Amino acid sequence: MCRPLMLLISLVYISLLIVGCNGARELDERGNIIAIGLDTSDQEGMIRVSYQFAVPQPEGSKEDASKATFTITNTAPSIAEALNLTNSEIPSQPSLSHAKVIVIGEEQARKGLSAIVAPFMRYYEYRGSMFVLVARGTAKDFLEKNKPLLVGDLSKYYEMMLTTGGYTSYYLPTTLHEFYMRLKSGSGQPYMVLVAINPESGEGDISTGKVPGGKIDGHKAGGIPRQGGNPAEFAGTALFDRDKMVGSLSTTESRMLAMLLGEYSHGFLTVEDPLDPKSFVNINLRLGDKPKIKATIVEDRPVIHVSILLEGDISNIPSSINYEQRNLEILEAQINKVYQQEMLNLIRRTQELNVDVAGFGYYLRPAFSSNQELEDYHWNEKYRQAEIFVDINTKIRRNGLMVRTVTAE
Amino acid sequence: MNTYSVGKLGMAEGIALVFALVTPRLFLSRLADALQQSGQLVWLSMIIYTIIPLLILFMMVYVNNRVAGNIVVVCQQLVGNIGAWIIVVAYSGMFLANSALLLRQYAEYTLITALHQVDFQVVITWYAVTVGIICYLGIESLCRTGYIMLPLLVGGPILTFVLVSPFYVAYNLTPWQGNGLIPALQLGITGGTFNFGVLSLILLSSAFQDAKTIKAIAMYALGGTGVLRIVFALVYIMVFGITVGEEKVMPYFEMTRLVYINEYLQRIEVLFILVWVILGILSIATSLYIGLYLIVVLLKLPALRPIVPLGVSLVAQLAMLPPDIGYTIQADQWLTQISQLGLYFFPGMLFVIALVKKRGKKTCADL
Repeated sequence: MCRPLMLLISLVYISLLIVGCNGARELDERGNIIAIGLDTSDQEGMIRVSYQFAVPQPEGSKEDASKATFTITNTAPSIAEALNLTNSEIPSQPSLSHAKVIVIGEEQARKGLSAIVAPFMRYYEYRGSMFVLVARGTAKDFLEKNKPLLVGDLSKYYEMMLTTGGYTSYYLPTTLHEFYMRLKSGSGQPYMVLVAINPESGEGDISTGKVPGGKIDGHKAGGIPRQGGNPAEFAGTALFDRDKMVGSLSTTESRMLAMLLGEYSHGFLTVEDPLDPKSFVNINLRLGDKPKIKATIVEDRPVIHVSILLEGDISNIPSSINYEQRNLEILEAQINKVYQQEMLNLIRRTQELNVDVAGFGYYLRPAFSSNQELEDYHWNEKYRQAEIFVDINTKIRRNGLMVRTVTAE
Repeated sequence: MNTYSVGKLGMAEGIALVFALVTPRLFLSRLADALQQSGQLVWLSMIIYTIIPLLILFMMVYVNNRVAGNIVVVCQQLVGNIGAWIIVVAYSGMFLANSALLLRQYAEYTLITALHQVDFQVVITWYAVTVGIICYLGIESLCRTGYIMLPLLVGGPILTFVLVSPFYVAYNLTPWQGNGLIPALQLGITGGTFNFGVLSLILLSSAFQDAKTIKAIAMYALGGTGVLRIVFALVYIMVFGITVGEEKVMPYFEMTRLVYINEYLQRIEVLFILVWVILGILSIATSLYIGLYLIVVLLKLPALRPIVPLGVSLVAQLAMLPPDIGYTIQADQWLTQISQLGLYFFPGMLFVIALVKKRGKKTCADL
């Protein structure tokens, strides 16, 4: 009787000790960092690291989310040292285990990230599911001026902004894991979400103009013509050649990139009305299938064929022309023409920068029989030479809630 | 009944025994090493190193059928007393070293992944005490615990494979020849020692009903583990690719860290830590038990339980010898190489001698 009892007691004792309660910390002893900002410093060999902390709020608090945060910026030789310094500035122990985003200032991104990304992959408090962003201007500025609305806390704000990015595909949420994979793969180049603080003047900047037949201009973060709301905005994509930022895409170009990546969820397209060029037509478009991409090597030159099927619903025909029962093909052809041009523009632009952000190199991998052959081909240096053909095929499946448009007498 | 009696083990217990002995390194750094050597063709290496130990086990079953008795008796009959001592001590040493190196690696990875603030000695001591208690209960309890835990140990990784599916990049599996056929074949042959634990069925053969049961257990256990390994490797390559995949210390833990279901269900790697910690404890305890069992049988000791605390202490001390994790991993690689003696040389030698002795035996008709 005594032996089993002793055994039971010892097992319970062991289980209590090995579950980790001895390392437990009270919630208010932890300073939870939600966002990390990285900027260049004027001092040689130093980096400016900003930590945005969440201030714990009582359940159901009506407090404004932006007031439930504070940001500390330290200039230090490394991110780890900046974290050490932070411990001298706040009463709680800084913890990165709840960090959602890493924001990198544009200047730092253009300087290179390889030395910065390495600790993120090694230290246990960081994880691959954190999102990575590039801030036009400085990361510090972005974190300090970001005043989230609609959501109760900062952590939820970042998460919602980035998980709803696929709604329009005007920016492509990128995790640290995805960035690092691209950085090391050799079959494509990395990209990140572009963010900025908008001056809210209502004017904005046009980054990419309309293509023939199109009605939409492309903007980049900080350039959306608007007034009011949170000045922080997410729009466009930062392009990298290995670890260095070399350019960026606008909202419309990012949408094309999303299609090539097969991540385009749906979004409204506004095109010129083909039968009444002064007017426009709105179509709610989505990918009908994953993009079909075939890559081959012809006489040492990569040749890529892209075929994209789009499905759409008509959402607005202000001209009152009855496309629903007649002329649907004309409308489909108009969409094909606009998207074909936008897609070719995107590809031309990425080829000019020699950054294969669409990951065409992955489709070329089966053409090689070993990793050595693949490495010897140096795809990222050959992307510029690739001949790329694009075929867009649009099918309008539904007419919205109207079966036909009846022109007024 | 002697306390070292292995009792009666059925098919399920046998499968759990082999599973516990051959899978723990799947959750450690070995997959990253395998990718560095074989690249995308690692699945071929895994098939080869599943088949080779299976064939070797069949050879040993043949030997066991020729000469009745436990491993010491079999060796004495075939290679004499000194040969039997060398073989049994070598096997015991391999299992004890395996136990020590797994203990160190699991303690280190527990520190890295879950108990960052806890002192190393505390973690290793509590692992050792837990292993000691489980080992003290005997091989029947160990195997039945393994059998009860088997759905969790297999289901955990399968659930992980599903949850990380948003990160799959199927093109990472190409170029399909990886680093070439020769390195993959080399790994297939040298990697057979990952499945060295299947020989425990021979070392504990008296616990099983008959040779047919042993063969069936080996086929189910190695076949199942082989499939799990291959699926694991393919998923890992799709998620991380070869270059990044080679960098990871704990492939399984890294995959679980990526799991993101929604805002409320994410960062759940701690739930999966249970899977590999349970497997690790079972594996360390099983290795320790077999190592001690061989000593007991060799020295004809009346009981095993009194030497369990000694064995635990020895294994814990050995585990604390390597100065750092890098040296531990290197020592683990040495053990894998040394284990080739136990996988290829000893069974091969016993099989050949058994064959020769059978042919040399004179029948009544010859007289």
